[in-house]
Amino acid sequence: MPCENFPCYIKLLFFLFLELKPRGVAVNLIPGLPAYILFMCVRHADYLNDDQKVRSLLTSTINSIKKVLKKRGDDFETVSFWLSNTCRFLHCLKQYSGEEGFMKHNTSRQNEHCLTNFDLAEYRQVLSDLAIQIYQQLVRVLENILQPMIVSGMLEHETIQGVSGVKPTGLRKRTSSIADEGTYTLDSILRQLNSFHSVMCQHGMDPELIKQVVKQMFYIVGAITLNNLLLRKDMCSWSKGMQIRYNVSQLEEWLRDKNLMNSGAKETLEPLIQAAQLLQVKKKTDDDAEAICSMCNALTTAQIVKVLNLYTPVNEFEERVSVSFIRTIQMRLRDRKDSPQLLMDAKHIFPVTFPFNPSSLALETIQIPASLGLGFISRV
Amino acid sequence: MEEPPVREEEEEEGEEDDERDETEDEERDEAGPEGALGKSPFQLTAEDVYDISYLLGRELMALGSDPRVTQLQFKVVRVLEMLEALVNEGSLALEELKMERDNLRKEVEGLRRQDPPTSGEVNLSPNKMVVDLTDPNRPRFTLQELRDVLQERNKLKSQLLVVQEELQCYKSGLIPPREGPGGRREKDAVVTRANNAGRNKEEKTIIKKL
Repeated sequence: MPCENFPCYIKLLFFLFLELKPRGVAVNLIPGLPAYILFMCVRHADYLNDDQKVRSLLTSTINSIKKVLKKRGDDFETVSFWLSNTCRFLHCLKQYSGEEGFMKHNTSRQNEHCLTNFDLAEYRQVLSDLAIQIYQQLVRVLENILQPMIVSGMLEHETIQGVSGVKPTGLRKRTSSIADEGTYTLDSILRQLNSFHSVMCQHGMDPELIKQVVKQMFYIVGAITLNNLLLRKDMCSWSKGMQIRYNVSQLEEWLRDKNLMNSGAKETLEPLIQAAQLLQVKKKTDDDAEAICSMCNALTTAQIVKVLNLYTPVNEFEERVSVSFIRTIQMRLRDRKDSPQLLMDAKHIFPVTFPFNPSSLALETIQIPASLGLGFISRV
Repeated sequence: MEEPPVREEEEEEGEEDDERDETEDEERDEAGPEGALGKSPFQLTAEDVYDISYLLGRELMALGSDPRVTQLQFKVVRVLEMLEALVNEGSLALEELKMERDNLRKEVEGLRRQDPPTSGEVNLSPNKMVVDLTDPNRPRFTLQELRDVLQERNKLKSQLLVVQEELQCYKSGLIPPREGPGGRREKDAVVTRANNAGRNKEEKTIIKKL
């Protein structure tokens, strides 16, 4: 068990929260290590039956995490790191709480580590609220990074139509993430998603939490893309519909590759998918109208009508959508109770949950690696 | 995990290390953690060590929670920490050397571009000498000229010695004046030869001294 010296707890917290980098040998090899060390300090204070120590430790922990996130809250790695560790700390408090519901997967040795004197359920609630805050901060940081890439990568950059310029030599074997014109491509978006995913995995973030982050990211991509499409005539053509469907299929491929098909991410793209389909289907007869109305169940009436109004033919043989056709559509959909809002709410954040995720790690085997610089802590 | 995309080799100039560093950064981003294990140890960076830590940690965790595995885990952490320290020190030393090299290069460039020196300020390459043309004792003759003069002097000196000896002989009556050419020549020949040997030695020593 960690040291008996109370002041060292403060040093520990200072170091852990303000100095510890989200990337290093120890924290990469043993994801969640800071959380385990923290929990062991709490466990020790509990063992000593010192409720003041326990309270100070927990409040300092929470305040220090908030401090770090204020200081370096723009850094995606930092936020992801502390979200992962906060969740792991929360899981430890549950796993070793002594409450039966959380002890199902414990070994008998693990049960010996359970808290004996104090009930920390209240603090668990505070930590859970903190975790939600950190999650929302993470979503905003990720969104800021993705944002500039979305319209360019999903709508503007053309990969399947004739490219306006020749691809520069030397880049034939790999698609450049920044095209000649200095704009973002779909590839940029995919690479960025890869980077996010890789970092979250390295931090040992709960897989269920990673799924929620990815779903949120996909929602943002879909919403911003659709909103842009709904405001620009040059995005509403048959060929753009084709381009969008291709891009979406690439995103789905990415989900498949990362085993995230059950994250609900794909479903968040449904409005965008349907808008793309709407650009491609025939829009003349009554039957066409019926098909459109049954197909576009994820789009509001306002959105469907807007797309039809903006629709631009690609060549002289194609006609614009007739006013009467649009009237027909409106008639068929009049019983819908849609929101009159045209644009999707791109700032919407799905509520997050942190399903209990116990660890099989044996606490008594934890050592403090030298590189953490915590030499003042000795095992008792 | 996705496969690292195939990279085309990019042309690098001879000593453009900065470009090479950038290319390495890109390669790392594209290849991901697995790429780090495939690198040359001398090109390893701290970031690579962290990637390797993650890979090893994952595989160790997959082995389960046997205490022997956990012990191994922390030993591996120690080893990787040492690797990190070595890599950091190595790259620090590398940075210092690079900076020093760049500074020296700039210095050389500066020196080469400098205007010809004004009087009193001279930059000499090795094996060069400055001569003051107003100095009466300045060097004026070549080595060959000196050699020729000395040789001539030596020759004249040895002839003088011969003549002085002859004179001595005449004075002391050893040699009657005007003997037959054969006998005299023989004696002289012996004497001369002996003297020549000595003189040759002298000449040789003199020439050696030159």
